[in-house]
Amino acid sequence: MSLYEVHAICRTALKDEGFRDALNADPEATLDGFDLTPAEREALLTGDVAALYAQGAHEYALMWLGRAEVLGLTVPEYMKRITSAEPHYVY
Amino acid sequence: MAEIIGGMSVPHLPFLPMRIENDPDSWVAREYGAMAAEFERLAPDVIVAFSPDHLASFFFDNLPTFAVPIVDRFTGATDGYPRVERDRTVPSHRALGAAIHHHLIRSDFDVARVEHFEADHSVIVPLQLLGAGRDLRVIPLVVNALCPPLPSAKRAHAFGAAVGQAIREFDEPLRVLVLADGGINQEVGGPRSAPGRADGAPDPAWLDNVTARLRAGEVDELVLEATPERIAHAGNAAGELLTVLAMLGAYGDSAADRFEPGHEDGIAFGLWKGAAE
Repeated sequence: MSLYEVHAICRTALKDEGFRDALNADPEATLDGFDLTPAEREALLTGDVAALYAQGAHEYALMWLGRAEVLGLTVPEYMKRITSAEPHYVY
Repeated sequence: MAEIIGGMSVPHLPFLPMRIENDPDSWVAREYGAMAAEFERLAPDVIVAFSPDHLASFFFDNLPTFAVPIVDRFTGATDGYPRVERDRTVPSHRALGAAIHHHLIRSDFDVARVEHFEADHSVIVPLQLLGAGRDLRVIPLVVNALCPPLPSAKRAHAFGAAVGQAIREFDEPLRVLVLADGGINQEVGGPRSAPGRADGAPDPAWLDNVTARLRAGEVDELVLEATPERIAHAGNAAGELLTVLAMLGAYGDSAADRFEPGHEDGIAFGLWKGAAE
């Protein structure tokens, strides 16, 4: 699990326009710079936020991918995908 | 000595400034307007705000459970929502912040000490919508309400009580308002969001229960009921209730003068005024 890297990608996408552009232009190469598991990498490349959530990623960070409009996501598309996930309760 | 002249609990949803601007007759606009009028009557010198953070002021690299900014001023909001002020500079009260921090450490609360702080929408939206003046000093005490594991309700309440002691022992005649901000039955960006929205209110019975408890002043009972599991079932933002419990710890447990729930958004407006202790 490299959830910290997933969360860092989400935050950088929201905050850094250059990173956002790179992620949209060449997602494969851009993600090479991060220490991800194959499952995390695959889920990011396909914008599969439900899978990332199932792997333990925090919804607040994941939603930034929608706000940043990267990896095929927008806020409505993010919401469509996350609401298909089985809720889990973290406490 | 400083005195606590009132307590308030208000929502901070980042779309509220836009919604209130677009629909000034809506329930939430009227409620915020009523709180702003109370706020003006209370005329505090300082706000001590119990606020959550949405992974903006702090991130997973360094995420305190409780944090005390000891600063002359801070800025915000950093998280870029439309109609939420972005570059507001808010004066703080360094000496009171330091006194709160010292008292907390001496009371065995191992809080984080923060000497540079940037706020997200959580404290800025209430300042904006309550009409707080630009010279009003604010100490934003951060409570981890959104990234489990959260502190227990008992711990948040006790933290607030220790903050209240620190305020009342502070040797300056300040009128202090204690403020809590957040939702109660609320899911944001998670699987239980409502169709067509980025948030939802999955557990209306919990908001009804919180409302009944706080109207009756049954804070100890609510602290016992607000287990981590119960909070998690009321949504991924329902931990923001911890800010209310901390605020009541500081103000003094008592029945709310008014507590109005809004089921559409899972939020509430609460007011406690006069000398409680």
